[in-house]
Amino acid sequence: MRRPRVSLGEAVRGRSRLCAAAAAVTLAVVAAACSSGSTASTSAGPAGASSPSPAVSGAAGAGTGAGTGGGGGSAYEIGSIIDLTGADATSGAAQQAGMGYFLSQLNASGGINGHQVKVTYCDAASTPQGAAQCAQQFAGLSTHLVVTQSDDPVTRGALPHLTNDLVIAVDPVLLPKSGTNVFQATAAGSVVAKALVSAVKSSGFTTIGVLYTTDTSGTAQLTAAQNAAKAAGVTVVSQPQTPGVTDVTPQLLKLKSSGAQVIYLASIGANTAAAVSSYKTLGLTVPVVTGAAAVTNSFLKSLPNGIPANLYGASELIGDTSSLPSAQSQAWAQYRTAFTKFANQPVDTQTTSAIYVGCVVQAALESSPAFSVSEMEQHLTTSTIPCLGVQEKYSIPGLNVVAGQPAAITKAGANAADGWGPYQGKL
Amino acid sequence: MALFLQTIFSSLVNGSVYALMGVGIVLCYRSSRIVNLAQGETFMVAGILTAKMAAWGVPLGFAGLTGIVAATLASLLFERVVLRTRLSWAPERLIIVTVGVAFLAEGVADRLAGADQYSFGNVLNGSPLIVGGAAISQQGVLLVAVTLVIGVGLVWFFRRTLLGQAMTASAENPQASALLGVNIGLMRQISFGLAGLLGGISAFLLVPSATVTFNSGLPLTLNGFAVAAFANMTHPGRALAGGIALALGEGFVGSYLTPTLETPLVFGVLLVAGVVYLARSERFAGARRA
Repeated sequence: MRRPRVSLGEAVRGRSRLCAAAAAVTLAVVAAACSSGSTASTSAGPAGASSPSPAVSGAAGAGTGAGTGGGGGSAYEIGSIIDLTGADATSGAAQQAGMGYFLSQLNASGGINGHQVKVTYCDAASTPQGAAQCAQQFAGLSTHLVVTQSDDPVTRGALPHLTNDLVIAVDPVLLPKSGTNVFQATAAGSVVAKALVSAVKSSGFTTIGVLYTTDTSGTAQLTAAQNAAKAAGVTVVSQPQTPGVTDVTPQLLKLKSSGAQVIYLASIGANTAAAVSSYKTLGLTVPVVTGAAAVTNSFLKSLPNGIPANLYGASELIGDTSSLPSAQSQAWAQYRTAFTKFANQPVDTQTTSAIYVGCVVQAALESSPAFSVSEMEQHLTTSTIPCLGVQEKYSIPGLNVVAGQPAAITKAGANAADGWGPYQGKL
Repeated sequence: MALFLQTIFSSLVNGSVYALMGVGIVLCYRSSRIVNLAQGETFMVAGILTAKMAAWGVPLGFAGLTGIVAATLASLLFERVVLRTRLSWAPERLIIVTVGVAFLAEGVADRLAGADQYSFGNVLNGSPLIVGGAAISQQGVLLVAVTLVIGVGLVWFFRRTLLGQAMTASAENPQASALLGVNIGLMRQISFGLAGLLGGISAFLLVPSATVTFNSGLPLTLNGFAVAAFANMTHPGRALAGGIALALGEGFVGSYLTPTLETPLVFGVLLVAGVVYLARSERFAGARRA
């Protein structure tokens, strides 16, 4: 049976209606997708804090040059450039949780100079352009203090627009020079590499096999591992991993046949997941260690076919603290417990790096009630900064990179819900 | 020997993904003369939806089927809403449109699902198959087997069935086919539907070992495009063979020389193929020599 013929006018009208409907739907979806780019203001009061004791700063009332007076009781506002959408949104969410916890603890113990501290977040959308826009939005902040809670190269997009502010950065490969207005609050990659090599040596191994992605992150991690291994007399064999490839069993096989006794995955994100999957396919049992970027809860959740029994992580942000002095060990234990209760998730690399950023922010603001950038810079470069039981210092020659953070091996729990935990012993 | 066999296994797994994406792009091009750079988004849609449903406790088989159906519907919707009314546009404009759709799909997925890496359990969970010291997971074997069956099946379909021959005819000469009563619009819809189906199937088989995020689509599309271009955008069977061959080339270069030469190899082959086809005044990857 033939379909009835449709007149040209009816066909055009029908098509127009369909196009109009499709355009309306598309516009609505685009508007929803783009609405995350706006600045979100968050007042970090002590909501959710069950333990108002200062678990984050090294000790209550530590003498870090706290100033007097203040802004007449008004809150101190800092800006945060953070990835709430885009490829790094998962890290951004963890960063936000860490910063929220830190500020809740800080404000519950009286804030800074009698003032509460609040943070205004701006979504960089995981792009340098987004970070640049956020930086321009923070131009008028009275505190002249901006934190960048994004990784490379997003953070670098913001820096040219923040020359009049003090910038505290999470990016572990930023490596800002001394004399600049940028301070990196996370330890350099060499610290992680030293912890890895130390664990390898103490376990009686002599050869590390490094599977590294051929991008900035992978090659930086490889270089750090090679330098640390050379200094310790440990051999490094390596195989490159093309980013995006889903099966790297030949590369792992080559590492094994080259004598690797421990495999270090110098990669991030899906590349690390693919490497772990290939490791399981081959049935390897040698210890496999991921870099700090994978020491996150979300990475463990992305391994649904089981977490390998020998999966470890090298991180300067969650370590075995049993060998630390009791004050530090106690501060870490208190932090783990309190944060888990606050955020309903275990601590990880991202949440802890936000804590370290918070400590530097606190030290900077306490040093200059008038929010002088030069005063804050001077203070950071000459004073110790208590944080999670450690006295940090910006003491690396030529760099504004913090030193003193502990680094160690951490072990993945049996289930993703267990997160990453402290580990002591042999690999 | 173990390295040789492992390289073959690894290449077959990687090549299967390239091949499925490439075949999908070829199917779309045959029916519309459009290089569909949004093909990878069918993988992303199916992968994320399946992972979400599996996380909610839905049985994996049903979740996978839902993901595959969603990918197919997304491809059909794309053809119906975006492409059909613009077929008179110049091909280069339409390529930009497909790129725009790919970015829109990424943005929507980012908004709805976030940027987490998603995954779900393997379909086959047994011990890997070990041959001569080399190993391939059962999931990998399944992926390769399904790819080969799909490839052979499509070749048979286009050669031996009336519908397949009609689709081939409408791809080669739409005007003549239309005059003979072939419904060109329907052929195009079927092609895009098949492409979406392939994207969904590849997600169901690959995501357990590779994970999926909102922006997984475009990189896969680029690999698929290389394969489709190698097959001159015309023959699904050639795309299948091209995908496997390309992956084997990459694999052996990576294993016996260095993985840093893998990407240059892919684009080097593309370049050579383009020069050869265009020198013969043949169409290549949707373009013709001026």
